[in-house]
Amino acid sequence: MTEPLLEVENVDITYRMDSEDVHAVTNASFEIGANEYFGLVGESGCGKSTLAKSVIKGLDSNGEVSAGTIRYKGREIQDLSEKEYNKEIRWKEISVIPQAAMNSLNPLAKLSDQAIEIANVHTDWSAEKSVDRLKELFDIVGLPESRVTDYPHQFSGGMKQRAIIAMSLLLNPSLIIADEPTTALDVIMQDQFLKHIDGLRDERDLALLLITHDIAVVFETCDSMAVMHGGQIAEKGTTKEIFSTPRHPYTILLQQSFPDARHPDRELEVIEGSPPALREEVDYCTFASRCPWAEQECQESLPPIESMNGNDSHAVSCFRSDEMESLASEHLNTIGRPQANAIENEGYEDDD
Amino acid sequence: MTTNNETEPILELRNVEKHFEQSTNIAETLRQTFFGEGAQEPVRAVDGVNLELAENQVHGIIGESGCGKSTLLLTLMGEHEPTGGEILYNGQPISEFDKADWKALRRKIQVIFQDPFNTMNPHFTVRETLKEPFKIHGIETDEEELLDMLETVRLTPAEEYIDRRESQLSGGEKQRVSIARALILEPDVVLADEPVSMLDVSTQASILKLLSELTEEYDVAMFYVSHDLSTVSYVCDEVNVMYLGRIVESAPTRKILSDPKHPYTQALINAIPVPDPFHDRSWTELDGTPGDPQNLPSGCRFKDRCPERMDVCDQQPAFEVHDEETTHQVACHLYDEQPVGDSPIGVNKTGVSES
Repeated sequence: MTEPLLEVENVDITYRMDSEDVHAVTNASFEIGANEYFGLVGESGCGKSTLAKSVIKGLDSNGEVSAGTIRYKGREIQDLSEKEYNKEIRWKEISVIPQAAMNSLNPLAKLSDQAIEIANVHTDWSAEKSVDRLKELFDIVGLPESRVTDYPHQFSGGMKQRAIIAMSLLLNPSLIIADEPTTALDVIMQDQFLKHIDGLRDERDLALLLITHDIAVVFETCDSMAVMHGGQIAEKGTTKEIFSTPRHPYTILLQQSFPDARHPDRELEVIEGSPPALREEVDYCTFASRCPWAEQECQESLPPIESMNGNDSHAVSCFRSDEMESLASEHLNTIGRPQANAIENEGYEDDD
Repeated sequence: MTTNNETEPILELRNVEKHFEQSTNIAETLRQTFFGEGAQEPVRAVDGVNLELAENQVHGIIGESGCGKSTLLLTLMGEHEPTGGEILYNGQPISEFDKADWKALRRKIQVIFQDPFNTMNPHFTVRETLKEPFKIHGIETDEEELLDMLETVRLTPAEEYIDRRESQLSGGEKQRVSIARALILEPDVVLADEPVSMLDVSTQASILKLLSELTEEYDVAMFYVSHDLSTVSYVCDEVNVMYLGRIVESAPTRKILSDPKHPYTQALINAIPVPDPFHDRSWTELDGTPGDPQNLPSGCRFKDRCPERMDVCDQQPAFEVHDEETTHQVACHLYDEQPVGDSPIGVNKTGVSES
């Protein structure tokens, strides 16, 4: 991998509340390379959206990056002013597909006018150029070019989604951040959306940061991923590594709690309890209170994130990660999964 | 659980229809009355649904948004009056029920809603929430019963939970309280409207487990409405797939997951993301969204999106049994045994769909 596109390094994010602070993210680090599709997974409240918002300067006014750096193309962006960020990065370098994407178009303006406005704020493009560009993108996402002058209400739900994808690509960004883009959708609509997102890989140089609670979507769409719990990155690696050799207890249990339509009879794992409220400085593993294998040490200090088996990409934040394979063996064996060294066997398919 | 076809169904839907008239203002109504202009086509949200729910059975009703599954549920709850067909409770048509019958029925049919975050009165403690059904039906209760119920839905220690308010519960705990509230009057039937779709995955698993255990333990039958086929195997005995107001396929859960017949069911199953990066699933071939229930095409309602479309699809496919043993039924011309041209003997021959 060449120089990463986005580097998040040891980031802490704190929300100031009336009486106390909430330490929403603690010591989070990950990297996204150019053209890489990266998934950030975790349950609600784990800090995944907060982390993504910090990258786009979208934190609520009481939230701030209290430690660490966020670099985009090698440049630190966490301290940029709103104005600088707008001028140099927003839309042009990093654009966003919001949650409830279908409802995020302006209902009172034609799509072409919305594109002109965006380009007008961020570039010196002529109106003509902006509309031409939108037409090109409509073509890529499979919408008729003639419809760029429609209003959003003239589109069906699926078309709105595609229009949003087209819009996010308007100023040719290198990174798209999609925050739970499919959560409100039915399976078929979700699949149509992911199909188009996946199709973009071939069309252009684009990296994606996909935030979701749905580990299945990440496994299917992304190259690499990070799993978050209680504001900490529990484990990160390529999707194949995380799938085949998960070494953080949360990742292991999370995977097992996910229904797989191919194995309707598999027992679902239940993760008891809920993450801590994070009101004090976090100097412990936030999963310890829910972890079946936690020890004294886990409550007392923050586990460092260490790479596994000298492997560059795969890293785990757990004191017992080396023992996990035997400790969690009964949880690991319930799916007939190929081991990491059998990865070249691409023809793997389940006979369901 | 064994399927017992001999027992009388506890809840039976016969050709149930719920159409919504479109005239919304008085001018339009007057114009239609006096000038005889045709009324707008009604929205056919539920259009000829036949279902039988036997004691102890859990039936899934699966489909995309707009397929009519929620309208169907509201109709069963008595929120909507069906515009056609009949709903029978223990063999009695509920259209003939008087007020007292309805009250008794409301005790026997309980609901679990989709959104656990807005279904509890925020001023109520858990105790008050659970007492409310007793109050409504004028039944005496004691603390012991409420605590037992909380234990049953695994909110332990119950003494600690009983005084909490809505704001002191997590999403999963709220849904457990909803389940407790639904079961506390020992109903015959529970209607569950996407009970896990708003919960986190780890919580989702525990609620699914709880639901399937409790339906057995409490001898209660359930309609489980969802858009997600990946969770049905944990709860349902049978699955009915609904598309634009009609059931298009129905079969035991294992059967439908392993051998879906209708192209729509196949698409629904294929579109479920597989949690496995080694698995190469093909993206969905379906385009667009379900049509407009106000302007339904004649014949098969899925034909405009169907990858297998044939000429015969302009005729309405019959809902026929394709496997006697498992009562696997499907409404699709791909499985026509009769030669094309024979009038298919449909369950819905009222002609409403042939507009």
